[in-house]
Amino acid sequence: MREKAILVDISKCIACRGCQVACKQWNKLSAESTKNRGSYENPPALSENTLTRIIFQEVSDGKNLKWFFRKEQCMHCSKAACLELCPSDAIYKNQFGSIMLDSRKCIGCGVCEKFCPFHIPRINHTTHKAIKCSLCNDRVANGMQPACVKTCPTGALKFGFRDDILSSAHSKMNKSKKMYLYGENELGGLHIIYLLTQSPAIFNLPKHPTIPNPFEAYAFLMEKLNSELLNQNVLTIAALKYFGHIHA
Amino acid sequence: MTNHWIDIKNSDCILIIGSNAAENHPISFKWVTKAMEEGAKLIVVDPRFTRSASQADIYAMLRSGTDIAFIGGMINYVLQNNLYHKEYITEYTNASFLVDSNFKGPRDLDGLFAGYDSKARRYDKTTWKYQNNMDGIPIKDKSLKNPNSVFQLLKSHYSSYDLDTVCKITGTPKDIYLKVCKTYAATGKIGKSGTILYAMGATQHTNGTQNIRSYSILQLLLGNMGIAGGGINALRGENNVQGSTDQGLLFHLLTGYLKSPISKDVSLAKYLERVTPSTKDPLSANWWSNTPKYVVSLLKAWYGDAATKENDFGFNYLPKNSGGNYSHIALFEAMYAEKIKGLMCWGQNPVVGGPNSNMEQKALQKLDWLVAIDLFETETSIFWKAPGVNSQSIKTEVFLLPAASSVEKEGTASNSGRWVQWRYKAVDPPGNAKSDAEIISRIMLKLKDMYSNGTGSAAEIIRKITWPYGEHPDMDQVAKEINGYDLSTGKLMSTFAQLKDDGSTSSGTWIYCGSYTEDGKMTARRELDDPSGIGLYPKWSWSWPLNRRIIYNRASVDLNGKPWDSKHAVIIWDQSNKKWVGDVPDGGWPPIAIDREKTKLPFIMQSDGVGHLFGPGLTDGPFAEFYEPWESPVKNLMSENQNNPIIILWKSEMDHQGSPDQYPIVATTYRVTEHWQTGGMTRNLTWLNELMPEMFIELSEELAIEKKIRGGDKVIIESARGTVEGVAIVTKRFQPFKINEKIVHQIGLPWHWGFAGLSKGHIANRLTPHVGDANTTIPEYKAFLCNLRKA
Repeated sequence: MREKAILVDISKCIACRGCQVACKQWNKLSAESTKNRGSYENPPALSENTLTRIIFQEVSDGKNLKWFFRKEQCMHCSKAACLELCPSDAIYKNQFGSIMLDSRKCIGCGVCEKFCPFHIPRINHTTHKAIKCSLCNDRVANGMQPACVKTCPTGALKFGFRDDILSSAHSKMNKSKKMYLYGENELGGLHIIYLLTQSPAIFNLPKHPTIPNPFEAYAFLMEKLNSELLNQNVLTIAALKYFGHIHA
Repeated sequence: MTNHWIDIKNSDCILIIGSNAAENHPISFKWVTKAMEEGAKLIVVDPRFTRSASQADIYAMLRSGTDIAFIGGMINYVLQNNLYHKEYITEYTNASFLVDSNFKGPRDLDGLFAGYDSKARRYDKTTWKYQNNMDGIPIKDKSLKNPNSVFQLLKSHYSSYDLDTVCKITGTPKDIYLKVCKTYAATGKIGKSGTILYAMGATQHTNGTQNIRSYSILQLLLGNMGIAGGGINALRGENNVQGSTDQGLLFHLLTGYLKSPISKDVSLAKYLERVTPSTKDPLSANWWSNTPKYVVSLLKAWYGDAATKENDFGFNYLPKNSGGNYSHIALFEAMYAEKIKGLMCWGQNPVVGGPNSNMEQKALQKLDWLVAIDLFETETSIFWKAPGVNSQSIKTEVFLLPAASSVEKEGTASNSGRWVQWRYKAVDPPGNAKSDAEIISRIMLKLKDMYSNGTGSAAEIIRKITWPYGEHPDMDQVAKEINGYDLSTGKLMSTFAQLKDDGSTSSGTWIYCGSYTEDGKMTARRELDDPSGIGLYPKWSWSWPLNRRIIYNRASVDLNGKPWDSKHAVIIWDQSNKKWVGDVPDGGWPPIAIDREKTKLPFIMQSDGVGHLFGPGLTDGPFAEFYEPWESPVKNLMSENQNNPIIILWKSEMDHQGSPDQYPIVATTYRVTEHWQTGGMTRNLTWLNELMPEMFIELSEELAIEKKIRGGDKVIIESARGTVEGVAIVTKRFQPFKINEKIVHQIGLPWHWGFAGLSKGHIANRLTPHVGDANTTIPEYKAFLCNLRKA
């Protein structure tokens, strides 16, 4: 199966935030109670009720002002930290290459939230389950586009086969030398491909995102075990998962 | 729009001024980005760096209310550097026409035009006319050298709009301003196009109409009217506001932009004589000469069999204006003065949306009754329990009629591009909510019942109105009436060209004639063919007039009927078949050079057939002249006349003008993507409130330092009329203006909030004045003075 991806061309994003609302509508997520913090940006971070949002950034070199809008959501990494570190095997990859979360298996341990190099998944503190963007698997599996892409008025978001998305990104880069590509090779290749107008660092995207050391995840789980009485079994399974291959 | 939304993609240069298209018309950027992919340049002119500006190749800041100086300087740049489209202006505009030699302009009369009567505060326009020859046809000098030619007068008028003066007025940095001039003037080259997108940032000024006039002059000079990717394009702020003006919403117009009768029009003949323009030039089609056919067909639609030749087709059933101004401000002044005792407020929320809204809220308290018709409770429907109001002291009886939303009713909506699109009902309205059509029909049926035995003129008029709709109007029946019938056969009309002035045809809105014919409901068409290749989609819905997608399209070709821009041909003359191919042409006459006898000039809605560089139709001058807004922190650098001399003022005890000593900061109001108008709908949606939760005020970092304000602080804005509180957004997107060596600060605030709904906040229009444009009386919302402090 050819993998699917979203192209986020930030040179075309006008921050209408139709994507933010469409995501909530499709996924039946509640509005958050927010405040104006001296900016247009809201909510201030992803949460159990906000799976995608636009980050607003004003950048000035003293003469020229730029106002950047970057859509933040799960990157659907080919080598996904959450998938590799989840102690309950609740995270898996579907036929489109999207990273999925099986909430029946999720134990709410918080490893994915803590160790995602992009800090995307969140734990819903009512249900004690992790939640994140599924790339609208329920829509895509039925031949539709993700809700955010469907609603985008300017063509800043495009959905398609990952190889097609990459070649259209490359052809745009060839036309306009000032663009930067992010997501082609990072973590084995992301399924959110950014066309950026500045270097990724300006957008706070890690230059070389990596999967954290499993020791850290193990230590995190040990701490959780003491404070929240996670099942001892979880720790054993995690140890096997993290370190099993060393002993094998 | 002279053009339409999709057509933006054909443009080589898009100038957004007086509009924040990306925020308020996000879908426009579908086409702006497509144009930019093909190499188009985007220029955004705005007091503040907006979401539109974030996409621009050039962002130019200008102080609110200085648009005419800005565009005037561009006109001057085009003229001084010979960048205009010479053949276009010579053949298709009045550039070559000679003007009355007694005409004088602001350069001779220190800011005034000839004929100013300072007592009456109006112009006598006697000299604002052409010199005619013995046959009554305007005399032309196609060399454009005669000092009395429109071209030379235009050149002299705008000669003082030089780079230095313009930038001193607008506060635009000179290098950026020059870049704008150069980039936009490049569209004057044959085969290039430039479009102007504007909205309320252009119109809501005491010079609002002349702001748009300045665009017309610039666009005509560059040959940008009638072509693909060109035009003057008003982005309408509500989905069917185009439809409502088409259908006679404005007080000075009947449907289809026919003029309202006035008390001097004692008979149909007198009225028609006054409103029907004439020409002696055989080359001018003078389309409005058909006015009698449209008026009589309208009267037949409204009064049916009661409209007979003997009774002037019921002309005297129409109300006549006895000289009053019935615009929004005037009506609220009259309520305040207790001259108007009842109000039906239909989908409108003046307590939030009206200017000087403290006063408008007070005016509602003086009414005997108020009917509000809306989806939700609005600030207007609950004005009697506004903060600080003692409900017990208010005697106004208030009714709230719940209305159906757009998806809960059937009918058409006309978009900015004049497409009239049929929409189907998706769901039933909740509870007792009713469609507007049902509400008005039931009121009318009740009136007819109540007046059935009455005497007097009102009773007769109400009895005579054709009202076949019943309690549950069939929208197809209404749409057919708007289209019109051949009354002898009972068949639907297919074009307004066949309407008659003898009572044998009807048409509720002549410009919609052809929208619902014997071939079917054109507005419901959804075919995706585009034979033009430029996105005309002639079988997708229907656009007025006659399904023409780009109006004045005969100016898109040269004298032989060959498109100026062959890559984006709107129409082409097919000589072998002797007809136009492409869009529906503005009349089928052959091109000028093909047949000089049978041809007609392209601007058929002007009585002289040409585009107006010299426009004597407005009340305040044939050329756009710059004046400061009613409230301004500086003196007018163009002349001693500080304000447009004939702006309309009111003087109740609640109408105050602020002085710059007390209120040194310029302010403007605007909208954000996330909320809509007065927030009546959007502030009741939690997903939108999450995005834009609170009333805010945007200010520059420099002003914030001066006033010791940090982002997120609560601040108070004060004008001569009221006080507003909001959260400070301190941003580089506002920069202080350097106006004639003086630093002038500007702030901005959205006008979406009020005290009703789920997200509550202060009402920005507490600050804005009751002062109107000289032509339309549109309120000056977009430039006024204030001061601010930390709360």
